[in-house]
Amino acid sequence: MRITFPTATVLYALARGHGYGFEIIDVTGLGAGTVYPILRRLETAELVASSWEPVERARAESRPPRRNYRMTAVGERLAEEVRDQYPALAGLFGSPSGGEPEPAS
Amino acid sequence: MDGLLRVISILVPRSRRADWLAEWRAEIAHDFMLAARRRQSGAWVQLRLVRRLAGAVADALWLRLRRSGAPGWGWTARDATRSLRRHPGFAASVVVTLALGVGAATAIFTLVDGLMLEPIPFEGADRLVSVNGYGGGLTVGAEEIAALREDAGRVFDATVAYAPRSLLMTGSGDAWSGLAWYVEHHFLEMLGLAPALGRGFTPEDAQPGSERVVLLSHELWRQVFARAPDVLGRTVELDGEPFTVIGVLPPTLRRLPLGLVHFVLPSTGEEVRDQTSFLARLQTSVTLEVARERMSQLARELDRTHPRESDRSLGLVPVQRNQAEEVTRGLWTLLAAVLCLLLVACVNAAGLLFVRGVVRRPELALRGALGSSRVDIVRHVLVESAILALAAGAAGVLLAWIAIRGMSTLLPAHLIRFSYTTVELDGRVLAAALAMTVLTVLVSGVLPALEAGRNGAVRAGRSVTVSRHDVRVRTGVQVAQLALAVVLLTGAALFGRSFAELMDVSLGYDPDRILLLDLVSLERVHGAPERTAAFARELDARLAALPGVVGVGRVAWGLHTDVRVGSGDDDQGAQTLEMLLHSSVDPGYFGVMGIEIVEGRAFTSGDAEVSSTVIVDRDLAVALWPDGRAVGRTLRIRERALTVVGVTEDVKLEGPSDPYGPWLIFYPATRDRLRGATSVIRTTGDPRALLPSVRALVQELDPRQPIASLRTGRQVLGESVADPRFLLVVLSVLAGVAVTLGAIGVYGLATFTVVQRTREIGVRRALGAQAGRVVREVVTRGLWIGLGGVAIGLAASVLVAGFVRSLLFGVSPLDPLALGGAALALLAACLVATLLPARRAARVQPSEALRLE
Repeated sequence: MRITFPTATVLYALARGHGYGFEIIDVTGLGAGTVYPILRRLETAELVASSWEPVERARAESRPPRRNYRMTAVGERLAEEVRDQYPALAGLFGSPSGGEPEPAS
Repeated sequence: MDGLLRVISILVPRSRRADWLAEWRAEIAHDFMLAARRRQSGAWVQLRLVRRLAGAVADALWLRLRRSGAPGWGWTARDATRSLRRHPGFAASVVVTLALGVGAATAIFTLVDGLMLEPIPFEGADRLVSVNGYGGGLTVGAEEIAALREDAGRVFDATVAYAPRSLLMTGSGDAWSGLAWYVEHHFLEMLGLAPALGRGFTPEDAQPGSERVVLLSHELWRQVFARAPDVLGRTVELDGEPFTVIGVLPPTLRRLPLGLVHFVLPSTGEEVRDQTSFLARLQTSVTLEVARERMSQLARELDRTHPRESDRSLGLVPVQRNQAEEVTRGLWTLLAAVLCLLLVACVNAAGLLFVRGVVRRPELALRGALGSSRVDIVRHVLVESAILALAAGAAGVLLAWIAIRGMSTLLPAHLIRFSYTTVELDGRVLAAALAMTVLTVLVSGVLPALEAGRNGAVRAGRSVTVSRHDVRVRTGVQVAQLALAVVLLTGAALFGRSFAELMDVSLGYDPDRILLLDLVSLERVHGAPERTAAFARELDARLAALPGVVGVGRVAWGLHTDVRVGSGDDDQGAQTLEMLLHSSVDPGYFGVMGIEIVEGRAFTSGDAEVSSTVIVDRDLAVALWPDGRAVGRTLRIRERALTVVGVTEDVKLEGPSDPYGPWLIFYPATRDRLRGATSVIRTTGDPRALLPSVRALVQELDPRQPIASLRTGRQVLGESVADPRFLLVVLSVLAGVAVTLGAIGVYGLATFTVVQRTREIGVRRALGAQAGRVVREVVTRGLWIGLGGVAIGLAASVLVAGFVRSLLFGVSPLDPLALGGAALALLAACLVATLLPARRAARVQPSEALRLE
């Protein structure tokens, strides 16, 4: 699979613990039309796996459960390589995820 | 927002739609929740969400085009290629079929584009004319030039003179003898041309005593100097004198009369005073007819002020590609024919692809069962068609390139002159060829692809069952293809009959064993008329003394235009003719040419002195004096009264089609008066053997004397029939290809039918049917399809008959021999095409039928 810069950015965001579609959009600044196809490709290549978040959590916030994406072991190894290939990515992200990021405009 | 999402979800494959909707709804809900917590403005949130929904469209499309497990375009292309490799015969048939169609169409389109659509690249090209002088020659004399210059303002807005001469170039490798022009310094400006390299002439270059400069032709620069850019400033020797090369001419100069020039030099005025070619551009408000009328008036005024032994003529010939309507019509006919062939090729390819679609139904059904959607199946078939079309396009372009090279040798000379480069493929034609392949993909691939998509999942199984609909479609396609082939065949047959009629026409003279020699600018080369006459006499004597030469004569032909011709005082049978061909001849001419005098006598030397006698051809004699003898009668040409002393057989000096009308008159002239005219040489053997001797003789007598042309009688005759011969050859090739494609189609259909009916045939054989009957059935079916094609094709041929009528000679476009011949030829091809499948059917054994159960 070809790792373009947008793909590397999405991988990096996943590695940083951002696992929801809109969250990745907000933290990377990429468009939905870019992020979601990348997520689909990563899932097809089994670098990422998705699952629905626990229902209880969603119910507590009176909203439907969201789909969460997390990297597989293979994906994590790829993310390491991507980190070396695109060192500037480290500067684009802050510390690993803690709290909701501000939505991108 | 949810409504929009639901609309977008239609793009998502059904199996994933529910999950997709749930995912996006959840994200949107979460986003609203966050926005509420952060107290963000509702409008801003909505706007952001609408932008993200654009991304939802992209996501949905991605899922539609490439679901998990579904192949991408690259994989589909690889799969299609593998599939084609397993059926090389089918792939080769389609590629060859389409390549033939595309190649022929590209080649003919290149030809038509180069000859008809490409504008002549001179300024005011549609108003540019060349002035032809005495004898229809390409130069005019001093008096005419002076008169033309004086009169220029009436009808022309620009004129330029250029004088041809023969020069020998040395000092750059091998000696190069070529044609030179001395031109007035504004020559290139008048034509709106710029040199390909270097500069043109300035008024200073034309001053006596200035540095000698020369422009080289593009062809010379290519052949001798290998397009070296440092040719500028080099010194070349022309006839022993040094000249500096200041530039290279553009190749477009070939479009002019005497256009195959090698050197162009500035004239100081002396060189273009007499025996000069003259170019003029008509004023925008002046038509060609008005200008020609003015030229006729000018010629008559000159005859009054500067009388000569024979009438002057000043003809205007447009430089622009102003081909006879028949030639244009002929080229359009070719284009129509080749588009017909392209259609045949497309239909043939569609048929082959359709059959493959039917035969592949079990395979496609299996693909569907394993998860491929209808879209995937159609995409697979379309990609296969696209690969075939691209391969056919590439092969077609290669074929076109070869065909163009071949056609260039067949092209009539007068058409080659109009092409300023050799006719070759250019980028636009290449783009048109590729567009044609795309079109053939759409035509050839859509139908079978849709059929495959519609029927792909109908049933799986080992056998292929063909519906009556399939058979009807395939048969209909085949009939259409054969009908087109019949149209082309009929066209080729008609042109073949026409050409045969043309070649059967008696010319009234013997074209074998004669040479025709035209020299240019005798008076400028040799000076005073006495010296020119002496040169001509010497030339004739030396020609007559050559081994293998029987006799030498001279002829100068010309055209009376808008002339009234009548008989005697009562003007009986008088007619006003647009053109009347006339020839001034010496007494020996008729014997040299082999023209029979059927009444009266040939000219004597005394006739030339009197100048009031004339010989006419039989057509004119019968028209003016239908009741009796023409000899001794009076012929009136304009105000001149001439006595008819002889009548010849019908003579067609300009070829069997008589482009200048059926009448011909001969005037007597002395050899001296004909010093600038064409020499006619009668030989004992093949005149081609004497070509080198004649050239060497002229060179020996005067190396400065240029030869305008040296041709055999057969060559002249060949040029006069070059157009119909070219049409015939090309149409025959196209028809042959169309019939071959049609036969391949019939063979394919017959084979397909036999394969489909193998079980049925086996059962019938088991029940006692004879092999002969099976063969008859297969062949009869093929012939019925052929008959259907013939009927429709003949009807179509009758419809287009009117368009080609003017292109035919002595043959009606509804000629039963041609139509019947075309029909029989096609039926014969169908018969041959069905023989192999019929033999295959005859060999089907009953046990095969059992095995298929």
